Amino acid sequence: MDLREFIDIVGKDNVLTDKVDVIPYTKDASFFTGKIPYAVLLPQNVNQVSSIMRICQRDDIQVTVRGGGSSLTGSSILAEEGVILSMARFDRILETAIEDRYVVAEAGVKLDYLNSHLSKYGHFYPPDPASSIAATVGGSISTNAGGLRAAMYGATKEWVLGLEVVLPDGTIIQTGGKVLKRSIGYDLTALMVGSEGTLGVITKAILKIAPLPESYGRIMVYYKSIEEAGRAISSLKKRGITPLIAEFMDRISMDSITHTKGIKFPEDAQYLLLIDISSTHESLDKKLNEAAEILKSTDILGMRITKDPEEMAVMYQARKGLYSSQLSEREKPGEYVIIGDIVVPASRLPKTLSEIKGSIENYGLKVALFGHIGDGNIHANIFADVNNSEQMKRVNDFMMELGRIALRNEGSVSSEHGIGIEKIELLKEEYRYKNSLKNLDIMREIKKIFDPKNILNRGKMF
Amino acid sequence: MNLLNELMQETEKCINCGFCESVCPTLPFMGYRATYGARGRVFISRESLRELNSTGVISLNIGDSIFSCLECYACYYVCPAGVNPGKVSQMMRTIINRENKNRKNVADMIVRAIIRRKNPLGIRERMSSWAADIDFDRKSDTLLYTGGMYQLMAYSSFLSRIEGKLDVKTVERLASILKDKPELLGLIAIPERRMKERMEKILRDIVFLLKRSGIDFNYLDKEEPYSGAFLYELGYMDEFINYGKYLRDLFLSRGIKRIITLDPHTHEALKILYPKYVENFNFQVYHYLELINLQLRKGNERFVYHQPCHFTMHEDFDVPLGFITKMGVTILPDRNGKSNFCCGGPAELLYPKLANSISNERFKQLKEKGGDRIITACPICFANLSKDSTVFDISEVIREYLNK
Repeated sequence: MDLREFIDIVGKDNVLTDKVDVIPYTKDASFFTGKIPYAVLLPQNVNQVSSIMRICQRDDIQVTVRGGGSSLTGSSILAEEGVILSMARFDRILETAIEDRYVVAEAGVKLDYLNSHLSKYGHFYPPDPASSIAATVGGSISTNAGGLRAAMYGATKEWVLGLEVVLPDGTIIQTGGKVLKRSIGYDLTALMVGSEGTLGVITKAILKIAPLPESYGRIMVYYKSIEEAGRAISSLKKRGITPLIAEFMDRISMDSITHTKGIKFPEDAQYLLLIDISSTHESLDKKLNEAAEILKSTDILGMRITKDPEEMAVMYQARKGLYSSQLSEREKPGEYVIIGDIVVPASRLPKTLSEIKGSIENYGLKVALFGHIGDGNIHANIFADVNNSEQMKRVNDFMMELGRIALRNEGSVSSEHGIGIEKIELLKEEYRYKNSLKNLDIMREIKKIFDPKNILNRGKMF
Repeated sequence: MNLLNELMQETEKCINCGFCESVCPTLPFMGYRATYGARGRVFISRESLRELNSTGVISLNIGDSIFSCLECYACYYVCPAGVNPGKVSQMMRTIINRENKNRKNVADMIVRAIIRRKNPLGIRERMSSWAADIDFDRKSDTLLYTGGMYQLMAYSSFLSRIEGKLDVKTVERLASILKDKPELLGLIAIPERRMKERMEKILRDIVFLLKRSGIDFNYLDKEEPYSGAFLYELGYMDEFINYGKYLRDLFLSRGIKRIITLDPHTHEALKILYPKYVENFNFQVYHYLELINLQLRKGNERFVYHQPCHFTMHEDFDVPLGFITKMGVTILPDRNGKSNFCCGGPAELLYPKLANSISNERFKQLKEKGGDRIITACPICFANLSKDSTVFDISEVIREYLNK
């Protein structure tokens, strides 16, 4: 491949071709390994992206855009040979408008960095994927990331007001804007959210922000029965309580935190619910007590209530790093943790969790169950040796069954990680189940309009 | 467990989540190239180890990636899987040095100077001029051990400024000549006058504080060797262990039982590393601030404290913070404690441009806090952050705040 044109655009130092420089881009946080890129390009402004895309479209060069490289489904690695477009140098926060409640940030800004900036103004950007320390504005928009606070604030799609996008032919478009309401035809901003880099390159975003909760406290409650844990959440919601965070984890998950972070849990506890309640300073105790009383009406093993910021921060960080911590529970190094990510309505949680537990036993797999249970999101992390074909068949079958359980319970096969390489079959399964395979045809047609030569993130989603 | 197995086990724990990369100081200043971030370093280390295991060689050019790591350990404290990419880099340097490929001439040059002349720049005899008019207790079994760290900063600042003006290849070529002739290194080691005067004043302040606290101690004058910390940090483990034996025997031959260190690097080497790697390295090691027992004034001055990584990330040594809080209002930068941001100093001799970019960023972070003065407790941090007149070593401020 002739790289001279790319070098002219971004400079020699920003076109990486040495093997040692490009191989780290064959991996993201998923268990997939991508193709070795011909080159990694590191543009710094939208015009450079535009020029790069024009060349790629002209020469039919496959492009995968990479933000923080924290994808769990393989959406930020190359499924076919091509170049990686790293957005790392798009690292500026351009505008902070507190009175209008928005912030303008470049695509490569990390979410924790963004929130550290906003906290100085008493505000925050609520989407909070567990990987927020590494995840970027652009990447989280591309996967419609959810996270811990989605229980109260919803996923990323609720918080994106507008975008700057470079199309595969190099055209730069602006979608949406700086206002909360807008009614001007098809919502192209919404279309870009969750499109996983298949339609265009997001270079900049206008994001809605919110005031930080005045105060919050935490209830940690332990269960023996998975169904009771599920019932606790639906009971809270039935009584009108929306937690700031409602996380769930099983014994394997708790053990992994003990092994990596030294945090101990009651020995007889099989399941933990971690529930944060936000409120004004004056009414926090009352709200915490209300929630605690409801939870006590379920069959609990124990409960702890705290408002200690340090204690809450330690456990919060442990929860955010849970996926990686689970590696400590592998039987051998090199074994992978493959992530399931489904969602169901809160009222279906007890039945869903019970069905998943039964399915795990049927397939004879080691699976850690946890998730953002406040919005019905359950992660089923499977410990697997990817070189063991018999085991991998069972893993794939279990993943399909997990998706079907979600669908039978009126949920979805993918909650917040996207489709990437991993869930292509599950995406079909969802539309097949809903007798709506036409949706996939429509999506393919949309893809053709944006990207007629199919150069953007080929091999993902479809 | 041997080094290769230990490294393989450490790197195989990583799942590429990228948490470490987001706090790595070198990544943005090396153009966001993944190889120059913590995740990239672990990844290429794992690939290299697998290759080494299967073919017996490492074909990737991993030297600059691995040697540019600051070993600040910010990465370690955010890794949910418990991987320490900083430690991986340190151990990979040992693999590189043993494999004899991807070695850095500048590192080799420093190491040979330490081994042959007991000083990273081969100028041991110039390290004691600050103490010419001080009376030490020649019979004391307590040793004031500077390791030459404060003194060296005047020379390394000058060298890194010259290096910063040259490209990496030219520096490596020069180092390839000088590494076999460490005695010539002294010829180009010219101190920056003002830095030398400042560092010597700091050393005299420390002696004053110790003496005022009633501590008696000896000093080795021109015979005082360097601590060997660089040998460990640069991954020359065999040399580090042998050097530790040399230090042990020297101290024993002088009847030393108790050692007072002045800086975090020397403190870590003597207190933690040598006892771990060198048999019978059993001295009582104290940082001088642990021994000072003096009445201090409490003022209203606002001190922004830059914590040395080797105190907060490698050890849990908070003594300087206690002194600062006694004297005035303590302000910590946003990145402090276990999420500290390095001063860039560890890259100073091998990658001076990188070190300068990182120190500029850290200086900006410290200034943004709006304090009256910036305080450090490490000569390397001091030399790298000393970009205006508001930066002080903690000993200088303690001396100012002594009750008369």
